[in-house]
Amino acid sequence: MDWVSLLIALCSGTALGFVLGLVPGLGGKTSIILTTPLALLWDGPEAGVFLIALHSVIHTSSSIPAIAFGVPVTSADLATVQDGFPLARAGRASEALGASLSASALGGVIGALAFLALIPFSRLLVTQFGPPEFLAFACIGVSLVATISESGLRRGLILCALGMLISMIGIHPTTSEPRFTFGLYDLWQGVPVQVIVAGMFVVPEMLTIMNRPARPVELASASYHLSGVVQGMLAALRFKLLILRSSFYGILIGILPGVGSSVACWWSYAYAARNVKSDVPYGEGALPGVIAPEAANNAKEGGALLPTLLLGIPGSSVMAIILVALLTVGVPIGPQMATRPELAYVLGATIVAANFLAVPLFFAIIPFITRISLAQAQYVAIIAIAVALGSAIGKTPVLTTYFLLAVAALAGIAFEQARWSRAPLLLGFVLGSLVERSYYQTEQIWGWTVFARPLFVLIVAAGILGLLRTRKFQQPGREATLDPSWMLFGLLAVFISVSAYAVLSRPGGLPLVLVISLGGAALTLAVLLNRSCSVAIAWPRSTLGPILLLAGSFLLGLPMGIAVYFLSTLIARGTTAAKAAAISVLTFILVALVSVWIGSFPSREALGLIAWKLLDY
Amino acid sequence: MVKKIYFALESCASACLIAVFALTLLAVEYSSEAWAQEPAPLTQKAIRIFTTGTPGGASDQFARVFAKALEQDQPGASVTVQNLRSKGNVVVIKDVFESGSREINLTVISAGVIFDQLSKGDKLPFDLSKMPAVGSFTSSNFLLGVGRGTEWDFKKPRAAQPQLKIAVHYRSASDYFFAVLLNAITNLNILPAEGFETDVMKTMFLAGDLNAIMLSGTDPESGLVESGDMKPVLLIGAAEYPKLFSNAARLTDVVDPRADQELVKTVQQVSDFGRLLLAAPKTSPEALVALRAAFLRISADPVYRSELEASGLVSSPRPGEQVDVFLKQLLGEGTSLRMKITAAMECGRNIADGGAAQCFN
Repeated sequence: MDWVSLLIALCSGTALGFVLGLVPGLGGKTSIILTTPLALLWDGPEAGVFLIALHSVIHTSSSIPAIAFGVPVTSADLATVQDGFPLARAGRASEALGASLSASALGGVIGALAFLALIPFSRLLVTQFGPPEFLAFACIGVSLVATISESGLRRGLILCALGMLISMIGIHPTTSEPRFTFGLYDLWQGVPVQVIVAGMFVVPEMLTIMNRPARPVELASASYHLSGVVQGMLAALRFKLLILRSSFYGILIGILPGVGSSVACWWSYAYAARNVKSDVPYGEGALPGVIAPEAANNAKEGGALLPTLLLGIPGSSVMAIILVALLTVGVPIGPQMATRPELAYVLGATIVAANFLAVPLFFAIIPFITRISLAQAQYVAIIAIAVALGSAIGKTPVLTTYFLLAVAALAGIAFEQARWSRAPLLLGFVLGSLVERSYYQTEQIWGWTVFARPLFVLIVAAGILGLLRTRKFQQPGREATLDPSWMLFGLLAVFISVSAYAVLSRPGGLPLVLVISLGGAALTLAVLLNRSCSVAIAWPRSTLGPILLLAGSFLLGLPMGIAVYFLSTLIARGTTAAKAAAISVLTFILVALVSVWIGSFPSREALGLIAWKLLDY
Repeated sequence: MVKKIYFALESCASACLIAVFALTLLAVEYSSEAWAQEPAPLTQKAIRIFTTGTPGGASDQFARVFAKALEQDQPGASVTVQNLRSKGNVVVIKDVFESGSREINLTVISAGVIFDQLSKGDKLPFDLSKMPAVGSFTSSNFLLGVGRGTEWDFKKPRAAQPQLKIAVHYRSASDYFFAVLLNAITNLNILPAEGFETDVMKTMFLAGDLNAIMLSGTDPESGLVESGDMKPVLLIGAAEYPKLFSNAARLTDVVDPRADQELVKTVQQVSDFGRLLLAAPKTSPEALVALRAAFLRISADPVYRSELEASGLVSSPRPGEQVDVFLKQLLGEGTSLRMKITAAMECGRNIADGGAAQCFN
């Protein structure tokens, strides 16, 4: 091996990865795709060193926009935003960035060391975990709502259910039939995470910031910020056990093929929120809330290398591309790696070296970033909104994306106004597809015999135990949530519409959709009935309207429910002509509905012009 | 006399002038005809190849290697490859299907899309049988492998066969169709579980949760054979496979003699076609002819083949006309082949569910 070439590949990969990590919307996969042709200029292991170095530091630098502007570059940065951005808004951006740097570097090194240590046990580790265990992990992940929801468990679960249902838009994982796509082919691929992040999180958060009174520019000298970074780095070192624990989660999730890195980040975040004390409540700028996901995020790289290099099973799409690149330049993969074990050690050492090399780069860029983040809130908000919308539209530049962004932003603003924490929605969205896929896989291969798998039982038991030991989540100073009836009725209508859709159209996976949607509806109803009188907003003037809306939604789907609601309003308050027209339309809808139910229409297509087409039945 | 000579000269000069003029006209006419013929149809318009395959995967690689070769084959042609994975294959194929003739738009699709159309029919916004094929690349020629300790004998009747539990991508993917069609034409008993990604399939196979696996016979899979974890037992396609898999039986050796031979041939063909290069329906006939000719020239080029080999791809190209005929037979409304395939798939699924004994009379 040519050590000079390896060193050049390491340094160039680290520098390029650091820069690409700063660009929102690119993410790990796109960066690897863009740089693979460059890597292939080397015709040997240098290509692997370049790509792995590049990928190792992307998550280190991607925490910078996540913390400073609240814009996550990759979906794995979402957990970091929860506390990182509030810290930056509180004028502690340098400290948060320093803590993130320490945690990322240490997590990366721990992950790489674990990779090197686990090489002899790679096969044993990888084959012990299958879809049942993924399902157990995902369910534990969903239970984290209890920890991360700042607006109560019930509201957290409602938004988690909504997030899971949004994640089900698109192709069914087993039948490949389109669901909830409303006839739009652009939705067959599902809703991009960038749209959810931009619409539900960045836009409402930034609009709130823009509406606050302007803060004077708080620019201090660069040295002040650098000292803040060092302070943050040292502060992170106080949480050694948290870093170790989070790195363990990262390594474990990295080893398992098919489980996204976001799971590791949220898992670590929830562990911190449950077990690690912080002066500031989680979600409002707790330092451990930044440290945990960052350590897990970088540690997973070492874990992901194990199945990729030693078994030829790439644990993620990024690793799949790296695998192809390595094969192209003749690096032996899988069992053949045993013929050149030094290559595995070189690639493992690359992760360690890249994480160390990222430290000076981080220091070089922080003064500029903190200056911007401390500038007037309005500027930051405009940058953040532009970047988030740009990355969402850039990812899927079609008209549907604009529409989805508008819907997501409106919903996000509604939740923000009601002071409902939106983190559970994101958790549900991220974990939804994993829960669904693993559920069907487990059901087909194992069925009830899954409980004969010791590891599955062990994980479930550990999850339940962890949940029981969850400390009560304290939210001192947090404003009480509002439960506006229009929002609750809207949520109820959505859940009931989805249930109706599931029953009527019987898409694949009916039970799971029904459980989630009916569960969401029941919880919404519970919140509706138990609203605190002090913050309650009056019911709509007519109680008949909401009842018709709900009934219509249940029977015909949301659009028809809304139509029935407005028609009933017209009947109640409109002129005679309007009343007559409304009654005719309503009668037609009801007759058509009854006809479908009793089967007098030759097929559902007969009604396709009105309801079924609207909901892609 | 002088006048006569002058008149004769004048006449000659006029005749010469007329002749020169006529010759000029002829020359202009000839040259304009020559000019009209000279520009090749592939250099007049931009050629765009769309793919939605995994970057670095077989479809993506084929598109890129072919684009490079096409530019060399057609000096002056502009060929670009766009990987639009984030848009999804349905939207991308729809865009190509609906595109006009301002550019020459092509798309590389995997054979799985054929099955997608078979199962989803009108729900899809395109019709592959109306998209003229330029040719087909290979590299997804499927094979069936069994795990350690799985007893194997094709000659045994179905009742005596072990049930082969395999994982497939989803219900309209190639591996699912091959699984149920193998049930229908051989004495195998394959149970496909749906909704798996390739890496999870492999992990479960290594863990022993599955006793068989269906994969495309490309290089990354060779590790499983070399380590002894997988024994390739059946090569589904008739095309070339990597040498490592050469000991496995061919489909024609193991099909039940009573099975419909047209079905057997179809299963082999779909495996052999692997990746298809299709053009937009509005592509001009001249451009299509030129593209097909270029495809055949390029496919025979040793440099192109060695480049594919370097990328770990096996190439057994098929001409566009052959692919066209096949797609029309398979996907055309009410064709006998389509009905046979649909019935065989249903029967194969019944066998997997334990509900049918055989699919032939």
